[in-house]
Amino acid sequence: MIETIYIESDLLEHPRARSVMKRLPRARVVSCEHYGEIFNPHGQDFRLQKENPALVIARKRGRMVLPVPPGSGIGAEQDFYFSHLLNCPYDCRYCFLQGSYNSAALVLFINYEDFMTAVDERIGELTGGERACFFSGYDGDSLALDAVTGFAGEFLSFFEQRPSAWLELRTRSVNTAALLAREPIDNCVVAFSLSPPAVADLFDIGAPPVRSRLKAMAELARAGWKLGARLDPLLFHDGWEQGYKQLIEDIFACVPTSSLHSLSFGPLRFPPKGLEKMRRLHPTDPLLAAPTEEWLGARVTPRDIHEKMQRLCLEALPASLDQSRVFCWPANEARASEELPQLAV
Amino acid sequence: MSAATVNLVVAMGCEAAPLLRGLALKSLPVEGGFRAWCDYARETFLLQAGIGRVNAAAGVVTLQELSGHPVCSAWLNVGIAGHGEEEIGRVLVAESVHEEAGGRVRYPALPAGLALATAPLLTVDRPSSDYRPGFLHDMEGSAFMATALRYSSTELVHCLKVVSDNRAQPLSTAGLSKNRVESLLELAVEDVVSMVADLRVPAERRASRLAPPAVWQKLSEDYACSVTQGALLRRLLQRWNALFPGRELPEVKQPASARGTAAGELLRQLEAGLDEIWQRDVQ
Repeated sequence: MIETIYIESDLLEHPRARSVMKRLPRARVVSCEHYGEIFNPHGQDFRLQKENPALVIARKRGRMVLPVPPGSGIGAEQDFYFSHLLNCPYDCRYCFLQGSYNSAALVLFINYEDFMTAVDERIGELTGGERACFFSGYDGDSLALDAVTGFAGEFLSFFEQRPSAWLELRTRSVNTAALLAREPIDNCVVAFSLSPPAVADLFDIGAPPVRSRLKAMAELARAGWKLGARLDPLLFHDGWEQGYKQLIEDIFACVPTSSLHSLSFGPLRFPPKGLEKMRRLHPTDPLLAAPTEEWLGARVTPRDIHEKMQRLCLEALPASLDQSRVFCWPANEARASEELPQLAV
Repeated sequence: MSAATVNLVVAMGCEAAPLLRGLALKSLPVEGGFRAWCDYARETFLLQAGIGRVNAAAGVVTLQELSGHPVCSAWLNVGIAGHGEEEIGRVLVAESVHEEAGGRVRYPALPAGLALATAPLLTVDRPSSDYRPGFLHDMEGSAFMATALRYSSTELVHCLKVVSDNRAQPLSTAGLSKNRVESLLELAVEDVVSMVADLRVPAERRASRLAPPAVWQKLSEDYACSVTQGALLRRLLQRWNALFPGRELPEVKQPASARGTAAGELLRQLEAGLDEIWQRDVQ
């Protein structure tokens, strides 16, 4: 439960801020000048804050929409991300965000209209039938706080009018009420991050169980939404072979292939400095203590292990699944630019 | 010495007196014009620093020394404060700490489940009855916080204040005798005791996380590690313990004389051993 809301003082009367505060009536409200006063200072203990994160209501300034790191696309010609939320209410042990920020506070940027203007600018730059995908869950879970933020409802209405652009909502939550309350739109992918239940129970702390996420996927599929399954990161653990085989079987038992827009795999990967910080935050965690290799500028699960896991997952996919819907990090074009061996998907 | 302590700083003896009784603290010998106390287990310390920012900062440094530089310390500044609107005797925790002289603002991360009301705190250099609306006014908080944050983290450094004067009863008429201040602080004792207990829990968790592995001290001394090498060694030992709990460290072979220091060789062999054993285990 959020006990403290920090808010930039010029947003106190903003209708969206008022709506957020109304939904958290017991929270104490503290005003500040700029969210960075709370979010940026050194000398904060991310672990302690994660037990009781504050919400910071702020206005995003500067670059609103950014290109995604290479190799992370799901089929569009151009890929961008935007972040209405920094940090996540869940506490996934492998999440790179904990190595990225000084604070575990949840920063909600409420100037949605400015994000929309920036998305329109990017769409305006597309040429000759190009499509762009806009990822909304890079710096935080797209739906975990949706009951408070109202993000999905507003952006679905926006993207509905822009068919050359895709919106990816990426989540570990089951907060699908805003989606189920309306007609599905063709250019939205609701992408669920999934791991075998045994390992998710250990590492996806605070997130709904995998079976609940699969149930939410099934409901959305029945309602006509396009879905994504993100087995990213692939987590090496005892029994991973059976775990991932079963997970893939469970996904396709819940979601008809016709509803699956994309399925993607990626290795456990961290920014190098972020990994060191995460190891300091969790010094007894074997997942983070395990050796890594450098790959495309990231610290990554050793390649031989990851590729063995990925191969097994690819082999476990149903033959009826169109291979063009399967994406592996890094995408082939990113590998080519690094002169790495091509992936046979 | 305890790995985690809770350290309290007050300005005046009359602020300290009720807390000494409430927290069952005994006097400690201390130099530098300060007075200090601690409990039997040396887990809770209190120091009377004197009035004003300089004294508060010096008091924090002295108390850090006196408490034996624990792995983690939580800090609480307790004292009286003015507030234009709040009633006298009200106990409030600072939600933000503003310094009138420097303009700097700090935001303590408030403890989970905090039942006390909060207010912004403005630290001023001279007592005044010119109250900024909505703010607590004291003479130590900003310096206390800036200094304590050098030893701790923003979740573990807080200011708790008892309203001693307001617009209806400003300083000039509030009659703040020693007895009056002591009786005001009596009103806060229960809250202070409760907050000390609440801060100790996360402080101990942080201390346990920050504490180096058992063999680190000996190895870093045996191999004459530099500060950087010591930090690397500590991280390698933590990774070793996480991956292979209970397993003995690999034997470190004698370094080749021309290839750098013994400490460098220790780090290299430990890292190589960790990678090799992990790879072998996962095959």
